[in-house]
Amino acid sequence: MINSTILKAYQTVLECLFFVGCLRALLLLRKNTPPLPQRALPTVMVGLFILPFLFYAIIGIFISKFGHERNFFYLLPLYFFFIFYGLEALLRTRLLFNTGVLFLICFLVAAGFLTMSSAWENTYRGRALLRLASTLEADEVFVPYAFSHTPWAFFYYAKRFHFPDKVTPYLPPDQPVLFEEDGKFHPVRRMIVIEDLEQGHGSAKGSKYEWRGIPRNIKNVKIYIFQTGPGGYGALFMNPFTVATVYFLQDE
Amino acid sequence: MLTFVYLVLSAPLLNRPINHDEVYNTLCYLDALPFSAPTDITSNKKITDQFYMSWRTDWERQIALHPPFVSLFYSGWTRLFGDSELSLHLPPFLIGFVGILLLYQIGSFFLKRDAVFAASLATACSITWIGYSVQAVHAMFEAGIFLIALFFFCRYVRSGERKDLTRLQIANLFGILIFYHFVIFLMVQTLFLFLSRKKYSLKMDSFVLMGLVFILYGILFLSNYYAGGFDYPWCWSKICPETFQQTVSGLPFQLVMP
Repeated sequence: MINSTILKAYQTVLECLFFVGCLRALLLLRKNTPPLPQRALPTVMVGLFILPFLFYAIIGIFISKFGHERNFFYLLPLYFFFIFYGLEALLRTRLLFNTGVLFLICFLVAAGFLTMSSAWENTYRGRALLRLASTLEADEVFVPYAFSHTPWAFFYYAKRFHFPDKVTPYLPPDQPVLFEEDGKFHPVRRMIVIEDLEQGHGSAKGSKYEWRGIPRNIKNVKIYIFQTGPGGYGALFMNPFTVATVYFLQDE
Repeated sequence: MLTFVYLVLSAPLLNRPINHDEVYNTLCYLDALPFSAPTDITSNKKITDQFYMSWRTDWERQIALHPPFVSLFYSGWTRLFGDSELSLHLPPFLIGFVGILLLYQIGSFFLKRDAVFAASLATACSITWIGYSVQAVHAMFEAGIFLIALFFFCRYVRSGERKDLTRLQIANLFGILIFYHFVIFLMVQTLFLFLSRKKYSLKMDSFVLMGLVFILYGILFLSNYYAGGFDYPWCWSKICPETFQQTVSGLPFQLVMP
């Protein structure tokens, strides 16, 4: 892992270069060549950074929350343009400029790829999980609903792996769990419960939507619990008639 | 060289498992809402009601975040090519590819060749660009249409030809349909063209039209505000110049795959 101080220093260098690039673009307006409309192009692009800044200063008075970080992704290429526009102004000879470019890009790539391992771990294990679960022919698949994105992922994969109309995001407490077949409702006999402890929402965390969401009046139901990471599941045994089988899954 | 770097870094990730954001968005795409409501909302199963509630909330949130164009596109795309990882990732991957080439062209309007190449290479190598080029969310679509519009804008500024203005206007139309923040670029464009209207012999009616677009955006913004469209918890940044500055300056340093 790259030292955070080095990363911070690198970030500061890039920010300074960006600032120099913007300044250079604005100062270009004072020169005579090229003729004016073309000369103003870099200034127009600087405007794409300045205008949102002013916009949020005004709108922020009235609205406290707005936007998402991802909404500014489109500015990334312009950011790089101005960094290298600034670098070009500071390092005049071609040799120096190319050396600077090499250093900046190598660091960017190295830092990116060295810190990327965590990203691979964050990919969903839903596919492996549901593929295994699909062999069990459950009446009901319970995906605890209320937290974060996790249930969406499992719900999606559950549909992909042949559990249409069986996935339940939330079980109403203290009501019999039924599944529909041939136009009639039958008590659930086999249930699959899926939780993703990797996301930090395991049963041990005690959210009211987790294991406590399983109705107390489920009796003689075979419950298969799929967990994608280590964790406790003590809260499960709330009902002596519940038969539980716990599967611990590894990523595929 | 740029094409090679982009393909080497991004192509191996085309079949990567979709992450939680993509799953969430794909569920919305597959429902193709708000243009088709769920069919079984009258069932006596409370669970179904719960699904209905989440559908409505999701779509209010989706519309508050993005205009529906990308969702509609993906809705059609998944019906034609399925919702496999490869199918979902292919459109942003292709846009990312075209985007890198456009970047080089845009940069060459005002930068020297070495600097243009360096900026395009840095973008192609950045984890942020690679990550979003294989992610079935709106980000790469937004960057793509922005770069297309910017390309035609630069061309029009340089050449002054009518056909480039027409292409720019078409790109602007798609830009408005793809992301709300495009209005910032529209404002910059309008201001620039207004100041140079004599040079390009532009008539006032086109500026009146742009004024109407801004008024529509304002109405949409206010209606969204009063409908509580910005009230959903999490994933909303605090709105202030500091947040913007931190977000933008942090862009090249997003070192974890988005």
